[in-house]
Amino acid sequence: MKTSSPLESGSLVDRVHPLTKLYFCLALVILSFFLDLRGEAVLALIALSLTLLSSKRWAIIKRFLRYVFPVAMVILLLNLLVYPESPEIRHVIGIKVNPAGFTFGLGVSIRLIIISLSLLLFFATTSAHQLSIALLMKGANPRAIYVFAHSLQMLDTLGRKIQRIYIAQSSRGLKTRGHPLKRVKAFFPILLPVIFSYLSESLERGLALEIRGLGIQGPRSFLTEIRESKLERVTNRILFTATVLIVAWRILRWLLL
Amino acid sequence: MVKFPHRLKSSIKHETSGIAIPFIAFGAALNLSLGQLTALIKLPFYFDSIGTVLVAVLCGPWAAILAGSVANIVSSFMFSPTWVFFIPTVIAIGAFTGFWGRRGFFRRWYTAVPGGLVQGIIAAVISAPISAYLFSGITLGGTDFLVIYFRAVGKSILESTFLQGLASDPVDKMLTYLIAFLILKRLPYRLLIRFPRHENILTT
Repeated sequence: MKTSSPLESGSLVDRVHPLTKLYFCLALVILSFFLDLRGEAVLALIALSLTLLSSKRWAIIKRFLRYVFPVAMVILLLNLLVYPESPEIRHVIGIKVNPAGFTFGLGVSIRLIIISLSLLLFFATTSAHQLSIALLMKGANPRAIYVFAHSLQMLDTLGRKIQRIYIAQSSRGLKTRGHPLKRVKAFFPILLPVIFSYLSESLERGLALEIRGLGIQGPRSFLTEIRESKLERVTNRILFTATVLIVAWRILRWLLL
Repeated sequence: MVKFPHRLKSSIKHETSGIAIPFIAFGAALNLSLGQLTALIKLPFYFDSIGTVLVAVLCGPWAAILAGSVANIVSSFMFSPTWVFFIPTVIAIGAFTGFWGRRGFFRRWYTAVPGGLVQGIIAAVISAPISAYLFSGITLGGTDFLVIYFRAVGKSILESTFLQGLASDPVDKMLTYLIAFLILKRLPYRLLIRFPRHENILTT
């Protein structure tokens, strides 16, 4: 039985096949290690343009500013001020700075920006459900895909369960404040009930999964399908060839020069 | 398609079937949720590999590698995308803990804890080049000041990240192994016997 494809809403970037997006993201990540500063700047511009074209642009920018931008700035600043590999020092408004450190820091920061933006774009525009289906249809191991999908789902419930047990144990008189040793002692009465309850659940779930045929061999049918278009298949091949060629060219240049 | 040797294939299948599959997912989720618990009771540790260690001892190294890798991928989905680059570290954690468990070292605390020390050193060795070359040693974690200090005294980026890892990882991993041992000691026999590698804990 075939139902509608989940890739029908959002911008063009959002609707691209999950594996094409993954290949594109991997190509950007790999190339960022092999190109010089100018090449890295071009890749960063590509990643930024695609981010702005996606419907999740604000969510991506928010996470970028929260997790990546501060790291990139600290890397740049730290290498500008402390770079023992090069002794050359210049004074700018009374502060000792290292030009070689600045160039190095800039390269690392731009690479970090490319990697993070492309990964954020991929993760924000691809749901775990879409990625799971696309990987399963390409022949990925169903057990690994189940683990991925179930742990994502469990993350929310586990967090709530920890919170509930924490409140329950605190109301029973468990000391969770004060001396560090008291807090360490509180760790187990909260953690153990969580683990025990999930162990019992794992027993039942494991049995149910085997009964439903998670481990069986042979072809499978899918309730929801995500198929690659001809254009996406061609794009994947072009991405692969271009990445291999650029990497080979750069390695050859390093060897010859 | 890659053809695995028969023994390897059956070992992977043994470790990732039945109760192990949902438990691996739980291990991955536990790695990511424990930060919430340590924040609630204000403990200065992350314990972000307890799930992987539990899975390694109860199910085996392949299952632990799967749990650790999935935890890092899920973390990239939910939090910071940079987590995905530390998958080689979690592979090492899973493989080493699986090996340590197979030797029966998780039956006694005094044989389990030294494993944490070795594990911490291995984690530091593997994380150092990733952290140095990708992030120049800065990840905005609590131990960044150590990297800055080592850089300021003239160490290279790789040396600084390695020394920083060596200062924090062994302690964290020793405590992780101790906690995992204490949890495993409290597990009831009827549950323990269902796991693929229950012989790692139970004495005959």
